Amino acid sequence: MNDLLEQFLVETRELVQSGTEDLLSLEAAPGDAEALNRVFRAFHTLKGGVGLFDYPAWFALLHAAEDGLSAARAGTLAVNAVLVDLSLEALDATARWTDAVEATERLPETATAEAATLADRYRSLLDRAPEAGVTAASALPDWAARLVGSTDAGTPTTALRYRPRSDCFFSGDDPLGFVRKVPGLLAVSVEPAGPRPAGEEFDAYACNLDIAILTNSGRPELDAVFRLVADQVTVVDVPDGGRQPAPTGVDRGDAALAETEPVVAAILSEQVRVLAATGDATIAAGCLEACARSVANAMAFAGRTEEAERCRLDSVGGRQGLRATIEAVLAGRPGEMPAAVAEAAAEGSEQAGGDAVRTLRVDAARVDALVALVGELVVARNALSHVATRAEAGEDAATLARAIRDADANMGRLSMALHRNAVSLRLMPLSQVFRRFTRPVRDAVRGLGKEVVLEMEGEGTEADREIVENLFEPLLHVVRNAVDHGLEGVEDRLRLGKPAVGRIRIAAGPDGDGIVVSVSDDGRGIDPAFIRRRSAERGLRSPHALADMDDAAVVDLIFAPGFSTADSVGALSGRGVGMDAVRVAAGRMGGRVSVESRVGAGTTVSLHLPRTIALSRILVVGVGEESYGIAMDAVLEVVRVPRSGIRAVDGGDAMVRRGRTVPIMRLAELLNRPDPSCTQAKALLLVIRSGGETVALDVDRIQDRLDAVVRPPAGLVGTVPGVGGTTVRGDGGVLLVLDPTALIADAASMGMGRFGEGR
Amino acid sequence: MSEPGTVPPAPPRVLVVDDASLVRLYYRGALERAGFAVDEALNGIEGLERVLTVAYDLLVVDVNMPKMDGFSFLRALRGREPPVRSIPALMTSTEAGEGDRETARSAGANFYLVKPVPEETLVAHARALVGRQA
Repeated sequence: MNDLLEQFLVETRELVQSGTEDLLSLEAAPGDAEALNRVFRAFHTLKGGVGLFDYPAWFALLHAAEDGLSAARAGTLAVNAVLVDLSLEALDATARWTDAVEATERLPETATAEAATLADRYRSLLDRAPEAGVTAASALPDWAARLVGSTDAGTPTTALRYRPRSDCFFSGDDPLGFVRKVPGLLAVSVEPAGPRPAGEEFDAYACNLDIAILTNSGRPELDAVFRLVADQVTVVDVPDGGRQPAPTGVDRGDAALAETEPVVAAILSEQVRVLAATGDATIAAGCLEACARSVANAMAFAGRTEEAERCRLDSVGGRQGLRATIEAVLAGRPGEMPAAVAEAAAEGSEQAGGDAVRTLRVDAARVDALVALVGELVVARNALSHVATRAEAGEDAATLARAIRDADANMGRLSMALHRNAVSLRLMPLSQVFRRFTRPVRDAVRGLGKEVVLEMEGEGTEADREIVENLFEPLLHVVRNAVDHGLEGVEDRLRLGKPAVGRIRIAAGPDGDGIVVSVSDDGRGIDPAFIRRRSAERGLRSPHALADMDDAAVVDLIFAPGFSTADSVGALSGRGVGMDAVRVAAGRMGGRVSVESRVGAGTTVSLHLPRTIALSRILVVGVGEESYGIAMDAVLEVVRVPRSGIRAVDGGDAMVRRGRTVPIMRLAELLNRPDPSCTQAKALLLVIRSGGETVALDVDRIQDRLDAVVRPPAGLVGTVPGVGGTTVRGDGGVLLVLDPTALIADAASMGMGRFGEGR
Repeated sequence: MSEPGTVPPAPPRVLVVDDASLVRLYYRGALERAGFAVDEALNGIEGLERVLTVAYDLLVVDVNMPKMDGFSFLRALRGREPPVRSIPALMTSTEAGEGDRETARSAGANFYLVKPVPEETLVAHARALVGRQA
């Protein structure tokens, strides 16, 4: 896939997202002109992007949508639910087609028909025949039209206006001399360029002429005559001898700007030079904004208000975008402006325009720190080569060893610091995930007889890119559950004395070293009695174990795999549909979930996540011939217990630890590996915390501890339950890092372990 | 001109920053005839003070001025906060050299005209830079 297409896909998705949000705000406040403008611009930019590629059906749909929204902006079309829904559908189609194009670079078969239907619906809103063209306007500027109208001499092909500079006589110009040299001259008009100054101000040597001519010769001949005063001359073609209104293109911008508005054209091209000028970095933003404002003003002055709108900095995207836009206008190709924008973005050019979605904004101090660290690293490397020289000189081994250790310690410190720094570069705010919820909530509520208001807080909280990007799915699950099962219908709520409109609140904030993202509702809450009953029915825990658990631990069982099944969806009074998926997703990101609920008052589900994908401390354990990693933070302690101290309880093994019975699971068994012969007199146990329970894992040996970046499982490994990720070992081999909680849960769901029943 | 009940839009406001009183007078006359409201400042420092207190649509700036010249004035302006830093600026100077034009560009001047500036040229550029027929 080429870069342009890739950038197009990214940008299209962003525009669909922002357009959707703005449509929803428009739905809430139909009079919001700013929102309408943003929606219009989103469609306009989408259209421009699609126009770069060969997807005519898609382009036609977006064009129709743009027309509709343009009419809404002009006030000739009402902003109502019909327009908003239709536009949302158009964005939905756009989103689907974006996926299709990403997968196959083609639109789905059905796209043509769907696009035509949607486009027709826009047109019927506009109450306009499908083929209605753009109103033709005269292509001739006034001065040329006047001259053409005042004469019937011959068939002019070209009109020229020459406004000599007032000091032209001093530069040796002879204005009328030039005119005399024009071949095929048909008509001339000479008028004063301005009022004649009176009295003392009158300067007999200042030229005050405005000369217009019609000729049947072409531009090259005229250019030759006026080459010395080209900056004072405007040339336009006179189509069909000036007898017919000029055929206009689809876009008014077809006539090159320089011919109709030389001052505007000059100002625009000057802005290109200003943008190219290398100024001080501290004034770059101001210069850019001033250029954008000047361009927009000049376009507005030329009567091209629509293009002026497009020239706004936030729609063209940064310096390169603005520059490309100006060049497109000057070349008379305003339709290609968004193309220029896409190219500019593809260049990865600077984005001074404040588009935080696409660019990775990095605090300058972080970059400075990074550069400083790299500098230190270079120095540290030099120290190492110095040690090598000393070794060659035959220095004794003990001294060398010490020197190498020093260098190693130093390099180790630096590489850890570098890692910390690099990781901090990847931090991004959660706001972009949060913003995506407006639509799903609106859609989820539809037809349920419920009303909901969505509140958000702490969108500015930052986390690693990877986490932010993976947060949407699990959060969506939780939010949908809140709408489906947490919130009561309007009538029920009123009966219970609650406000009719339910409240869902997505909040984020710091949580120790990490972050916490929570979804709260003020719905019915989770009834522990129901969870007890359900868990017992499903055999998740023995009635015995359930009786021992407090309500909070019971409610946590909604995250247990197998708690919810399809047949329970309708019956559930609380939550729990697929909550194990949420737990797994949080675990994958190195986090965990928790739930808090009060019957009748509501539920809060919290995802506790790391802020960064940092180095994890890994314990490398051996089982039989194989080695596995286990994240150290899951391990509470490592104990050796005489095998005689292990009791068989209820078909499983268990030990008593600090007065509590801890079930013991054999790692080999969980992994379906051949059972090692338990020759050792003492069992080596890792006591871990798993889903609110304490469990001991029986392993053969502990081999190593290491700090490693654990990558989320991908490919084949990704489908193996219980694998939390992979990391690369010092020898280059890949180490599977186990997620003990998932492993145990998986085993439990397979009916293997007796986990939880060992009391 | 204006229909009953409608308020005519305020004229675009221009600040002329130039130390030469004759030039200021000439610019003021030309711009006021064209419908602009005109204020004056004698140098960059005065210009900055005015810009920070009144919302201008356009600045017409001379290069050579005592206390603070036009380039420094523009650089100081462009380095400030929006929306002040985005006011279009028309620079006028007696220097026709490419070097001065380039300096003006890198200081954030949006157009550069060589003095003497004919009235119609000044007005045409001023109108285009503020975006409306004053």
